[in-house]
Amino acid sequence: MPADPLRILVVLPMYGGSLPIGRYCARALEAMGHNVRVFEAPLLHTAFTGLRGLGLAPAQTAQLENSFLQVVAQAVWAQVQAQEPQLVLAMAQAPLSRSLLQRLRRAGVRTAMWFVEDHEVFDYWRAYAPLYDAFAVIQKEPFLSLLEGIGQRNALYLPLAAQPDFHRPLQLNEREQREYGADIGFLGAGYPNRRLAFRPLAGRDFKIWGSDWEGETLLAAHIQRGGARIDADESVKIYNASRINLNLHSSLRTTELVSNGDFVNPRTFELAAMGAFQLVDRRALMPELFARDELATFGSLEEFYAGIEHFLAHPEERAAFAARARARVLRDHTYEQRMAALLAFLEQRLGPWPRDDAGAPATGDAPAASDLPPELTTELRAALADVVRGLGLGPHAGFDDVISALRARSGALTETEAALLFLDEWRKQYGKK
Amino acid sequence: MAAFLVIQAARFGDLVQTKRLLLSLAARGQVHLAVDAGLLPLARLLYPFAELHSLALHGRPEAQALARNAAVLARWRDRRFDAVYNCNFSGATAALCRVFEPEQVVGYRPENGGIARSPWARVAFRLSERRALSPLNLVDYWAHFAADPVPAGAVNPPASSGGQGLGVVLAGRESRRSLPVPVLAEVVRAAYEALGGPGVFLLGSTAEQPAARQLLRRLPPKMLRSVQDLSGKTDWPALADAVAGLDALITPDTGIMHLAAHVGVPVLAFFLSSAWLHETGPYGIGHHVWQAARACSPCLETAPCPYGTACGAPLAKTELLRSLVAVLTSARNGETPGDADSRPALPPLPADLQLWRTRVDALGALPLLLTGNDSLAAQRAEVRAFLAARLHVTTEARGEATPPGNMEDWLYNDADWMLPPGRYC
Repeated sequence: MPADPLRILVVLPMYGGSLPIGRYCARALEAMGHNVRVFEAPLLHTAFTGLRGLGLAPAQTAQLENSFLQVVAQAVWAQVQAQEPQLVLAMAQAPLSRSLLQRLRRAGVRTAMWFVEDHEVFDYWRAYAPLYDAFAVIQKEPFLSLLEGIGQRNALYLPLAAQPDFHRPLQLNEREQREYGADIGFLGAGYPNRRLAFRPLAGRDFKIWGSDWEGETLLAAHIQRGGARIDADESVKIYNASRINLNLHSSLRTTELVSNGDFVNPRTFELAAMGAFQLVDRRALMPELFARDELATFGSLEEFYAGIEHFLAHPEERAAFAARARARVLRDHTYEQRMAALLAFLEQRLGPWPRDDAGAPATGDAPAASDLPPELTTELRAALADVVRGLGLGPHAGFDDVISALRARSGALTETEAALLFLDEWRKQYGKK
Repeated sequence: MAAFLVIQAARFGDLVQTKRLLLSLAARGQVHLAVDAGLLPLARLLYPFAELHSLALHGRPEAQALARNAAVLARWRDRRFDAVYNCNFSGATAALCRVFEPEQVVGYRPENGGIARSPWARVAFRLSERRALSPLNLVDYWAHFAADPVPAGAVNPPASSGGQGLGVVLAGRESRRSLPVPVLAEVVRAAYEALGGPGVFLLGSTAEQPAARQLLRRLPPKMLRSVQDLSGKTDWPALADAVAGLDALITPDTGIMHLAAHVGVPVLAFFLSSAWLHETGPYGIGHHVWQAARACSPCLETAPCPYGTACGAPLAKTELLRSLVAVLTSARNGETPGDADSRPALPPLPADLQLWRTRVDALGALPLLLTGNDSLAAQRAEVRAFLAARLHVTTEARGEATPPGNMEDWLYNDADWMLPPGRYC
């Protein structure tokens, strides 16, 4: 545990590829000993789909969507008030409106976004990036200069990573190997460049997993489960079961199927962490992340097809690449390392983390003695700090806040927590409050 | 072969301004175009590559017309279109689109008894809230209903004198778009002299015949033998013939103006405040527009003007005539528009009047200010950069992310990206 664990609120987006990354970040921060709460925006996604399912006229739906987002922002603010975080970490597409960001700034809460997107595909950073205290991105130039140009001076290049306790080698049983295994595997969305590049592989032992492959007739026999979405747990099995995992970065363009872009996608790190072999297209930012002998790469379609044949015929080379890639990721590219880098950057650019009143530690603080019932035993007083931390409450939480949070908690409580609740009821019964 | 249906229910000028979209789709498959029956001959001239569908869209409802429309709908149901482009935010075309699965319809889609707009259409609607700052030409708006439209420079030929005389469009559909006849007479006379006394052709419908007679009374007698009044005397093919090959066309914002741009006839357009060059200016390279640009511009021509149409005043001044003559003289001397970015020395204009020359870039129309002041240029450039980013188009201005101004709340809507993209709403 760090000397001064931080209270951090991780705000997830309601949808999309940055959602699992947000969860990995939260897990990593927890593993580092910080007091983490997660704003579970995906829970509210059902409300959004419900709005659209009401059958209202489009103009009314549009109005309701805007109102809905205001409610979401209020929910984030409510969580901020409860936790009093020292950092709000937003993932790309997280529902932090401009007015909420301004409010957080006024309240002195540090904010950062990890914009794990291509800045040319999502352009909203132009309006929102200056409102964050720091903005971490997965691309370098010209993005970093563009951010500086609009007033975001705390931009940080922070490449993607893997979560080793999740992205790990698996021993699959025979049934799983049969279901998920293939000479060639691909898991991802059916972007135009992938469709065209994969078509010559029709007829091979080739399984395609993932969504957005509608209308792809040539590869239809290879698309698994009719193009259904695949959850993260199952993706680990698929990657582990494929002899060659194709990793062709997405592109909307069909003129250059191998796009030679800059950033390295999460699949690269995840496959590597699993010790699964991948054939990946070269990217401008790849050499500083992986050595040439750590990833089997291609720069053209010719190399791509030749690579498939070569590595199918040479399992020992596949194993060697996969082992080196895994070692590299475990050494340099985990979400814990990324979060450590981000927190260090924030401290360096924004100054020491704010500490709570009267120099008390920033987290794990028990309510002030004057706020505690006199009946509280010494043992319970001592345990209260842990309870506060476990509930994700801020340093200004009083005894009543602790009790409210305990009442709202689902599932079984610890004996300390139950004793606190009992004390509260007891006091009410005898009118001692 | 892919097949696309484009429904364009609006009028003359809008049909011409759908060209970039139609060309873009034609490069990918067979284009079907549905228009009002009255515009069918024009559509045939403009878009010979398209299979046309005639609909009764305007005029009073009647049984026979409804039966014809129903027959068209029956044919549509039997065909397989890869996509249907509905260009109009209109209950009528939304109703027609009900014969298709909603997901097939692009642009404006019938949904839950209303009309749902694509993300791109919503952006354009947002821009229309502050029209003065919007750089989006209608041609480009419709063009970007399709991904990766044909280059803007490939839509219309560059403006080039054809040696066939001077065309004069007598009026737009709304009188507040047009120069008053006395002013127009002076403009025509000045252009006639600057061009060395070419033939002059008055163009318009029967509704413009009284204006034609008034104009003829105000022109110098020596000009009259050169003037031919074609108002009310041309059907669509004859109008297209009359416009093709002209040296120049004097016009307000009209369908004939767009027709001239379609064939590369140099346009000399005079826009009062209700017409806005950035929205509906002639499309292509090398046309000229004198734009009234008061603080109240642009306005709605259907709304009463509280300023007594004061935007017409600078267009009635002699500086305008000097400017017009200078443009025509430099054109005759071959000085423009060889370099689309060149700014020839031109006489000054009165306050509240601008002279623009049209040009294009990767995004679309990008007119160049030749004379006058444009206090909104920086903001309009910022909006243009926003559009380029949204459309993933690289323009010259791209990469120069401007410091945040006061337009973020307007341009960037939370719902555009916090909620799943691609929604119609």
